[in-house]
Amino acid sequence: MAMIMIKGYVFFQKYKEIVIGTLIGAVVAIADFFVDYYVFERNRTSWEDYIADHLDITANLFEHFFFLLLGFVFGYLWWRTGSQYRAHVVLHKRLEDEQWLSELLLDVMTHDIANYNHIALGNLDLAQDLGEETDEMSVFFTGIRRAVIHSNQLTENVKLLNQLHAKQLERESIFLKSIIEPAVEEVRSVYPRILLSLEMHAEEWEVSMQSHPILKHVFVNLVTNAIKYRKQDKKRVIIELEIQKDAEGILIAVSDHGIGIADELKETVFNRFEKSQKRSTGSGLGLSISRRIVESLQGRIWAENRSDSPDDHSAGTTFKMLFPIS
Amino acid sequence: MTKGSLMIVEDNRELSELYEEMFSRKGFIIICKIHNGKEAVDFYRETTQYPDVIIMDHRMPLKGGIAASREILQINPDQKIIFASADGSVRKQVAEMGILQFKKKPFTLLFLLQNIEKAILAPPSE
Repeated sequence: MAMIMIKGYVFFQKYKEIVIGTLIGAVVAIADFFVDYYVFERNRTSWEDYIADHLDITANLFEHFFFLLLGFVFGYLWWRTGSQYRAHVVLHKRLEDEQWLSELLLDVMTHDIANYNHIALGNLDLAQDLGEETDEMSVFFTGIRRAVIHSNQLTENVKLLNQLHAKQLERESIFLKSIIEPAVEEVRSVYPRILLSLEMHAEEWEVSMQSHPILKHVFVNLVTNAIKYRKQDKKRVIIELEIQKDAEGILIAVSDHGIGIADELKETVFNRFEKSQKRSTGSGLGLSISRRIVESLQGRIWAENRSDSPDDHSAGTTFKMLFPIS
Repeated sequence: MTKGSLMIVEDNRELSELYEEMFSRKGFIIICKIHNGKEAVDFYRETTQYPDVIIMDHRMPLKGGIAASREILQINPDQKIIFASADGSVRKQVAEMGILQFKKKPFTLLFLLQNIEKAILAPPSE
């Protein structure tokens, strides 16, 4: 008996909407039956009425059954919609949990890897500070430094990619100076031996636009690329920045004097996870992520030859970004 | 002749030892190495000689770098703090609090050294 009750309870819990719907249908059917019966009893005055009533009662049986069926169908639809909704809620909750967990893991991982990279760079600085560095040692030190920087860039890029994927960027009024200066400083902090200079007109610092602080990472990537792909043995890297603002939009051009990008690779360098032959170092994600960031801000980014050497890609590259004002 | 005094607040012991090794070699006096924000604030309340620069980590046990810096700046608004964090999202908050510099990890010790020297030369209100 207890077993039947438990099974009944489980069944009710699982299909309670159908049971309740059917019960409502049954209650309406029974109520209708009593109303009909009472009315027929009162109005019956002859044999003809009696036969007609019975025919009506038979017809009404279908009506009662219809109410019962209607209750069942209502209950079924209720149960079906409810179970779909519950499944949706469960799925949504699971997605949120997964998102939270992946963000947490990514945060812990990128934070701790950055710390380890920091320690590695510190040890390297100490080793270099200990005594005179031979040419051979210098090659090894440069190799270690480059590996650490690339490892850090990779984690930063993965974090950015996750950030771009997870949420819509809300734009705010931003002075370009407030994102370009920290971007350049961030690059200087990992390449202290490179003389990095930024050339631009003073009034361009004051240009503001509707954007998002994440745009800083595009400048970090472009400036880092200018260093990574500089002409061999160059210790001085000059970046030229030009900003044009008119009624339609803001055009930002970042030019370097690096090894340049061949015409057939100018679009490929932005393709996610792809690496061209000439640009074989780095995580391969930097420019792809830069494009995603710019497009998330309703802009466009592309690569061109320098304007002073339009037919010679080996003179350097100009990356242009266009953001519409609207 | 010393170049200045430093207080290192960093929960990663390997890193704090690295800072100590490098900066003492470069002529700085390391007043103390502390591994959490709470002890840093306690030390700062009791000390009679404030350091020229504090190198402050962000994520630490007991009390984080933001809270510790806030309390230290309440005690001495002129204290120069270089805030070092692997988390770039706190840059704005750090700047608004009046912390002198924010540096995103990883960076080289040479870069940090240049910035410590710059911080010592900077007027207190900067």
